Amino acid sequence: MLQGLHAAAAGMSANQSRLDAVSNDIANVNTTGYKQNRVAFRDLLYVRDGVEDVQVGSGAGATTVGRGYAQGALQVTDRPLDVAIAGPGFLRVDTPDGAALTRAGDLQVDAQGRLATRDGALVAGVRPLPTGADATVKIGEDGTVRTADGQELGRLQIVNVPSPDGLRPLGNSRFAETAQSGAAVAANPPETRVLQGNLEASNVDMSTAMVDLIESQRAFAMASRAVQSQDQMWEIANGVKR
Amino acid sequence: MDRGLFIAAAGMRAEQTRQDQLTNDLANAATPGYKRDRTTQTTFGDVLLSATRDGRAVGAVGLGPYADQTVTDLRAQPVRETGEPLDLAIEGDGYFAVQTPQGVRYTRNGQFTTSPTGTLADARGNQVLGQGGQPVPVDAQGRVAAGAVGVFALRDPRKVGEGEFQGTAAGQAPGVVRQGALEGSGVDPTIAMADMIASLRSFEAGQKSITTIDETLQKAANQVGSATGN
Repeated sequence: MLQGLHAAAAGMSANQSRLDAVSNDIANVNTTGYKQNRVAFRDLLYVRDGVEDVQVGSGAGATTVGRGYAQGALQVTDRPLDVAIAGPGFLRVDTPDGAALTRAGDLQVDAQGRLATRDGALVAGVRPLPTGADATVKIGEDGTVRTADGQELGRLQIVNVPSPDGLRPLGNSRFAETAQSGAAVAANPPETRVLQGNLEASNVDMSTAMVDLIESQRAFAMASRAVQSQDQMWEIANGVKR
Repeated sequence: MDRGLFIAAAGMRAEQTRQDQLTNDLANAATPGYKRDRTTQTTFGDVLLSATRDGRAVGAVGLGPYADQTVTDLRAQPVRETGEPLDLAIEGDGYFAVQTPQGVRYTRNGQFTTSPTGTLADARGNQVLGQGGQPVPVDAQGRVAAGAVGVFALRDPRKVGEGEFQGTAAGQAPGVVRQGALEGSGVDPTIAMADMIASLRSFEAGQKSITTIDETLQKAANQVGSATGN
């Protein structure tokens, strides 16, 4: 009997995880380069109930299986330092905590002329820009950065990993390589292109997210109803001896 | 008289099992590829009552129900679009095969991901198998080739948890793999809720029987033997 109570609680907990993930997606519907969470559900262990051929499940569990890497919509901004990655791959950046990968390409130039993300992570592989060059810089589809007069300043490092689902999210739209993701290798045209003057929008689809939200909320409510029902059974069982 | 007590208790026990199973169904109302369970109930053997004076048979009395078997409703459920390239659903019959440390297991839950070696894996990192038992490569675009993922027929499938089934493989199944979709859960919330209420009331009725018999027994013990009759 305790089994049922725990199974119901496990179901509530799994749906709570999904609610959290979907809420996070909805909160990031306007975040540049954001990729939606994928939460996988599964039923849990089945245990034998009594001596007969009867087995009862232990509820549901949720695990995050990474992100949905569908391409987000490209938004034309015409700002020279906005770059969108079309196709699979990430831009490699250096943070004080080590190398990281991101798809948020709204870049800027810091006080020393270095190319950096909006929150200050330095873009790897590019020398500092000459003063005033940030308005005229040219970034090619292969990531090559040139000044207006053709001087090459380096190349954006666009890389991909064998299993993007294994990346560890660091916050600020950044990810770190892990053993599960595999080592990053260069991602090359024509699969992956760098588009200057564009930004990649969040790939969260609002209508799907809302439906997921409703579904997980209802499933949560049903599991909680099962908790109540199990509780009532306990009460009734307790009433056997008055 | 005490026979009635045990009959009622057996009924309550069987309803507990049913309730636990319904709870598991409701907990999995949003689990892709979940198949709902039912427990069949049967009665303990009947006992023939006989008259004490002449031994004449007066009829049978049941010894109450018990849950004797779990039956899983394996019917395919409608699939829903998710747009995720690694969400796979089987339309029609058949199972995906995954290589787990315990051997090959089968599942209808197609929420897959990529392994570090660039092959298709399930949410726990087990390799998903092609029709020939080989790993399925995921291409640079994060997709699998059509027809690369095996669909297996399974004899005597039995749930082993983690969305997986165990059984005897029986070659290829007619089901078709659809990308960017997931099979819905086999739980019908309305039916599960109604069954849950029915089961709860049945459990309650068992309890009422026990308390009634208890009262009768109490009267037999305290009043029948009393000279004043109250």
